[in-house]
Amino acid sequence: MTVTMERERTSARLERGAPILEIDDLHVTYRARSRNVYALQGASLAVWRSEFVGLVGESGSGKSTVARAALGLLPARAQITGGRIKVEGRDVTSLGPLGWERLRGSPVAIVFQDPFSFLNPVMRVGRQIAEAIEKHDREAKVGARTDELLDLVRLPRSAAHAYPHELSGGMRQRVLLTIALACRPRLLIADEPTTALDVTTQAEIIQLLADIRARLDVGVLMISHNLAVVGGVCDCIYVMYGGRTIEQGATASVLGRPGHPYTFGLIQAAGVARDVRGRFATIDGDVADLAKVFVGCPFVDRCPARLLRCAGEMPPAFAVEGDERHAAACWLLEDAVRSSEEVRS
Amino acid sequence: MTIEPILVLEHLRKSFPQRGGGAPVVAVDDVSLSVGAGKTLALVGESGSGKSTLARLAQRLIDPDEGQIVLRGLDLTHLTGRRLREQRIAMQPIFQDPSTSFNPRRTVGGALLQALWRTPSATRIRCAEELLERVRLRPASFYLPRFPHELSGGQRQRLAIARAIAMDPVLVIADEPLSGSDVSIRSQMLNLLADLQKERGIAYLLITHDISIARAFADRVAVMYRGRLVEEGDPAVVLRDPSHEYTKRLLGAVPQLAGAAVPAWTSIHERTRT
Amino acid sequence: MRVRSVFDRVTGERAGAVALGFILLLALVAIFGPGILDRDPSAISRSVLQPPSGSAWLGTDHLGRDMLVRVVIGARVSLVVGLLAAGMAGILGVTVGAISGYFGRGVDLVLMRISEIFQVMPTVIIGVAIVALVGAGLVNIIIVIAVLSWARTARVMRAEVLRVKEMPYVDAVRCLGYHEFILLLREVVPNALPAIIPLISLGVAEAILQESSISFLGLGSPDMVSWGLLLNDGLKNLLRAWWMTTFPGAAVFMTVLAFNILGDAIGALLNPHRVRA
Repeated sequence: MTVTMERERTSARLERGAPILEIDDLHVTYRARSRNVYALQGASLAVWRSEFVGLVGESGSGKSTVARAALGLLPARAQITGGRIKVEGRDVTSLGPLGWERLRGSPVAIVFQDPFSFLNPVMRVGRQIAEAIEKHDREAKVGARTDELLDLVRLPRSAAHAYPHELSGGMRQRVLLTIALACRPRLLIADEPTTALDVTTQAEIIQLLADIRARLDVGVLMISHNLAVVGGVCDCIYVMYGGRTIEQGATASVLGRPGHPYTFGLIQAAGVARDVRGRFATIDGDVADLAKVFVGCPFVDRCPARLLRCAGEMPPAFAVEGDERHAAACWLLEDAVRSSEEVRS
Repeated sequence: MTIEPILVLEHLRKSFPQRGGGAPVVAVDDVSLSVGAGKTLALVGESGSGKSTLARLAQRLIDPDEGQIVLRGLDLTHLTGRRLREQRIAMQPIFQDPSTSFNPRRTVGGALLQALWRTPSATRIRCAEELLERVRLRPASFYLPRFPHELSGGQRQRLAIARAIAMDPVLVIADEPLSGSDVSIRSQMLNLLADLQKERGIAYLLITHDISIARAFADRVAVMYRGRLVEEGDPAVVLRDPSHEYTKRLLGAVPQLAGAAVPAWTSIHERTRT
Repeated sequence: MRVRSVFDRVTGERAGAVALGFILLLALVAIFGPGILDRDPSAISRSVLQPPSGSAWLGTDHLGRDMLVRVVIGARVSLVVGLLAAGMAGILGVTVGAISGYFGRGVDLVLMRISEIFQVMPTVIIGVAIVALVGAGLVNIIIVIAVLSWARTARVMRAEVLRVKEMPYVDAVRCLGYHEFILLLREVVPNALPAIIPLISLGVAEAILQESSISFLGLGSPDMVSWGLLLNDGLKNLLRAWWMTTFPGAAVFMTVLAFNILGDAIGALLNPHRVRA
């Protein structure tokens, strides 16, 4: 499913040039002796400069694999078996480790989920930030730049002298952000930036990401399983299930008028809504198992509205309610679209 | 007519010595609350609020410095040995992390049989099977010989629920039971917990940081901050119009998700729902 | 997730299997070898210091004794000492470690101080001294080695017990009404043991080495034909009769190596985080 192609066609977008990151129908398989894991079976997304994009999915949706693929951080036993990854227009799908090394930090930097594991516990924070500056920003004066960055993430300048364990979870997350920003990235990928944090700290970090996007004009790709967080701050959302992108569009559109039954079910479940009988809205069954390649829609076993063709035929992307920037891969949308214009995939 | 609450915690206080010396950390500071029989009390707080410590105090897994724990009218605070073990059975825990809630070397069946030691041995296995069926781990015969690591996180949490109800407790203390699970699994578990409460009259002390769950599920909600109970009452009131500063801050920080418009195919959706 | 490189896999399970094979072969040789060969290891003959030949596959020593028989008998001694000493040390260490870790406080303090004393002793030197005092002999040597090496196992066991007893599942079973001792025995120890098992295998290797050292230094019992003793004999004839040191030396080396590799392989196998490829 090359959903991004239809975005390129929209004239308003053409003037923006190539997206900083573009993932087109990516297939990734983790090879193991007894069984393979087909982690990605058609993931697509694109992030332009200054966009705040959300990638939403539950465990086993493939969203973390997408994050790693975008930075060439897939382990040795992971193989890209289809699709393309493009960074600033350049095809990097088969790039080797040296090539990736040059790309990491700038133009694409990443902030991981658990700040404690990604900071060196025996090195002062300031030193770790300085390392990033020295590698990516040679001309900068390290001290001044460190202060500048700390101000940007609203950390006190004295934090530079601390060791990671002396800082709170939220502060550590900001340090990771600082290190990422020291590389002067054009795209910042935040992989579950708030999961390990308290609610109040979460809100601060999300706000910080939004501020950084606005002030530095960087693109932000936030990966999260929390719909509410994503809904509050992202311009557009991609929803993943079973290793595929199954819905995408402007946030208000996707969350307000979801096209895919999974997205709808997710929104209802996330809101802990009660249905007419007082039961909590839920999606039956367990999350899809990535041990096999899906022939039809990966959601078919749990879908309350499945059609006969869903099990055997993979649905292409259809526009939702005539909005060609909002698309979902679901056969249910076909009829609605046939009367207007079906998006060619 | 007043119904006796099933669990009463009175003026509990617990502090832990600090590692590097200095003043001990007060984890729980003069907290009193009660859980009504068959009702749910949601204890809301962030990390460092002391909610988990309170849960462990309630079950006498650690001893309070001051205060009392009264279960079904019986003071548990100073019981020890066999008396404590006997009385404590009426309170069962559910833990946050399903991957460490079960002995990895014991089968699913083994874990349930452990909980069924009071059942006569002839009917024990059948009881275990019924429990598995009740939490929708079907077919039971498939799951009995499996090991915990062969189950998914959601399945393990359901198994935890099965173990918790095996001894027919009057109170289940669930410490963040839904935090590790995916959103779609969470609702399934809430439904299961609600059903079990209706069927068996179990009270829940539900510890969570998720306000939406507290709002949707609890009969009463209590908010903890830095070891103290700052607010308590009816969820509709507390979570809509809080009086305490911290509760206001907490609510302000929670991102809200507006409900989605119901799609056209939902008529099919309603028909096929079980 | 652990990414296992080619190097890891080759030195992992395959090597472990080979090591196990070697040890089993050694055990067979030790048990049945002397019977099959049907020769007296102490039989002195006139063909002194003969290099390996058709009649004496591993040559003869300075008293004309057949090296093959002596090496085979030596295998018996080494395996017996190694397994029994490591076994005893293991049982002692596991018990002390479990009690110390689980009950903590006073008991822990006392037991750990005692174990520290044993840990800091230089094993071979003390071992040699004690054997010199109480006299050599298979049983004595086994006991001495066991007593000197239980401390490390105790420490590791204690650390594991400390980790496991904090696990939620222990609390869960506690809330089901079970007694503390049952919790220790049924929930904690079985989950702490896997960390110890590779140590036992390594302990066998160490015990064999220690016994060989003690015998090599001439403090072993003279009628206990051990590889160490053979090495001692060979020392005086190092340049003239290479076969007197090479074969026993190789035997010690291979056996110790095999137990080391086996220990590593077991450790890797029992690791719950192992990626099941």
